[in-house]
Amino acid sequence: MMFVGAVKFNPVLIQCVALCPVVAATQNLEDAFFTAVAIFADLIITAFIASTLLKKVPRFVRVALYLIIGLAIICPVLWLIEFRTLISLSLIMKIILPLVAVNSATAVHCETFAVKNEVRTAVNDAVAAGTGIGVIMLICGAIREIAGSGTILGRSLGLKVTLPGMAMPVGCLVILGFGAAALQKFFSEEKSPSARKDTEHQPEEVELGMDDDYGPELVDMDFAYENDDEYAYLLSSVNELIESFSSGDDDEEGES
Amino acid sequence: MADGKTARSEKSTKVFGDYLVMLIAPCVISVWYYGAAALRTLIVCLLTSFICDFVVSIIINKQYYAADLSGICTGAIIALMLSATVPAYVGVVACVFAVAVAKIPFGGGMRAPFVPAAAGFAFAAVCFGKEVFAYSSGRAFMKTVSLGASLMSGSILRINASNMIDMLTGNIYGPMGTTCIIAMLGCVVFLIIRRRSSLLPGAGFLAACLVFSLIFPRSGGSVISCAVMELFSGSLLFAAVFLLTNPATMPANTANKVVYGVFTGVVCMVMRHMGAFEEPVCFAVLIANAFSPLLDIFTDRARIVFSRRKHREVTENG
Repeated sequence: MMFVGAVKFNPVLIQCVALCPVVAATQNLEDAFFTAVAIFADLIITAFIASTLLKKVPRFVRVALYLIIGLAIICPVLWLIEFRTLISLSLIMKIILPLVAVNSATAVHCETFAVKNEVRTAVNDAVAAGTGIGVIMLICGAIREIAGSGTILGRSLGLKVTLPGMAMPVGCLVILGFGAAALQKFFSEEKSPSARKDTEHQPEEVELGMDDDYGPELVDMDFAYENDDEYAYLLSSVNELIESFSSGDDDEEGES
Repeated sequence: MADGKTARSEKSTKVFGDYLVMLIAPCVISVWYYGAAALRTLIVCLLTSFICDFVVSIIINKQYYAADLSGICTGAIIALMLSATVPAYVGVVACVFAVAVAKIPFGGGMRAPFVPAAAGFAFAAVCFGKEVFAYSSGRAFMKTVSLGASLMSGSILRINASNMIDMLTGNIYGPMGTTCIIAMLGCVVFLIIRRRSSLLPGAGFLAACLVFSLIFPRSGGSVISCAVMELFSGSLLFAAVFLLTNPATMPANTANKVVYGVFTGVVCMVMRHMGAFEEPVCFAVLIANAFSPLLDIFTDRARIVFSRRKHREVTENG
C-alpha cells in the first residue's frame, strides 16, 4: 500500500493534487522540508479524524471541517516554531504554511478514502500520500536550491553559473513534468513485452491492504503499469468528488 | 504509423528548411556588424541545439531524423535574438531549455505547443536578464542605449533620413540579428511566395502593436516617431516573421490566425509598458501559444451550435 500510495499513485506527479504548495514552497530545501512535514501531519491527523468522527457528518460540512482541522493543526505549529524555537521561518513560509491547511491533497484523500474506510487503512493511506508528497517536495527543493541559488541548506556549493529561473515556479513545473514522465517510463518498462508475457496467463494477485475504494482492477493486477486502469481510477475518484459536491445527497452519503 | 512519421518529418524539413533559408540574411548581417563575436554566438547556439537534439533523442529512445531541421532552426533563432557579446553559457542554457524542455518532450518541432525558441529565450531572460539585454555596440550609430531602452526611459529619437537609414539597415544597438528591417522585409517577401497564410498572425501582431503605440505612446515626443521606434526596436519584426509563423502553434482557422496575432501584439505592448524586461515579445508569444488551441475550439463549437440552430430552423420550417 505504501508503494502504491506514495509512488505508483503519487499525489503530486500522478494525481496532480497539492501542486500549489509544491510549486510555491520548494524554493529551497529548508522551506520544502517544513512544508512537507506540515502536509504530512495535516494529512494524517485529518484522515484519522475523518475516519473516526466524520463518517456520519454531511459531506458539505465535512469538507469545511477538513479546512478547520488543517488550520487547527498548522497555526499552533507555526506559532510554536516561530516563538518557541530558534528556527526563523522565511516570509514565504509564513504565507504558505497556513495555506497548507487548504491543500487539495487533504480534501481528496479524506473524501475519497478516509471517510469510507477503517482508521488503520485511512491512516496508512495518509502516510503513503504524505510520504509521496514529502519526497517530491524534498527533491524539488534540493534541485531548485542547487540550480537556482547554487546552495544547499544555505551553504554555498561554489557553482559559477546558477539558473535563477529554476527557483521560480517555472523551474518547479519543469521538474514535476520530467518527474511525472520518468515515473510513467519506470512503470511502462515494468510492463515490457517479456514481463507481460510472463504475467499474461497467471496474474499475480497483490495484497494491497485496502478495500475496493482504489478500484477492483488494482486489487487483481500486478504492479505493471496499466494506463487505462490508472486513468480510470483517477477519473473516477475526481468525478466522484465533483459529483458529490454538485449533487444534493449529502445526508445519504454521510450515513453510508 | 511510419508513414505518418515520415510525412511529418518531410513537412518539418520543408517548413524549417524555409526558416533556415530566411535566417541566412540576418545571420550574415549580424556577422557583418558584430564580427567574430556574432559568429561565436551563432556557432555555440547551433552546435548546442544540434547536440542536445541528438542526445535527448537517444536518451528517450526516439529515432533522430537528421533532416528534421527544427533543432538547428531553434538554435539560430535564439542566437539572433541574443546580444552578440553574450557569454556562451547563456546561449547554451537557452538552447538546451528550448530543445530538451520545450521541443522534444512534446513530440518535436511540428507538435510543440509553445515556440521552442521563444521558450528558450524567455528562460534565458529570466535567468540572465542582465547578460541577455546587455547589447554591444558593434558598428551601431547609437553607442549607448538601444531603441527599447530609450523608450523605457521615456526619451525619444528625432527621426530623420540619416537615422531612418540606420534603422532600416539594422545599424542600431540591439539584438544581433533582429534589427535589420530590410532583411526582415526580404523574409516577408519569401514567406509571401512560400507560405502566404502564415503571415496572417504576424500582420495582426504588427497592426496591434502599431495601433497600441499610437494610442499609448511611451514617450512624450511625436507619436509617429514613438510608433516607429516601437516597431523597429528589439525583436518585434523578427518575432512577427519567425516566431508567430510557426505552423505548430498557429491556429488553423484563418480569422483565428489574425486574432492570435492581435492578442500577441496587445500582450506584448502591455508588457513593454508595464513589464520589467526591455523586450518581452517572447513572453507574449508564449502566453498567446497557451490560448491558441482554445481559439480553434471556440470556433468549432460556435460552428456546431450555429449549424444545429440552422438545421432546427430548416426542420421547423418544413
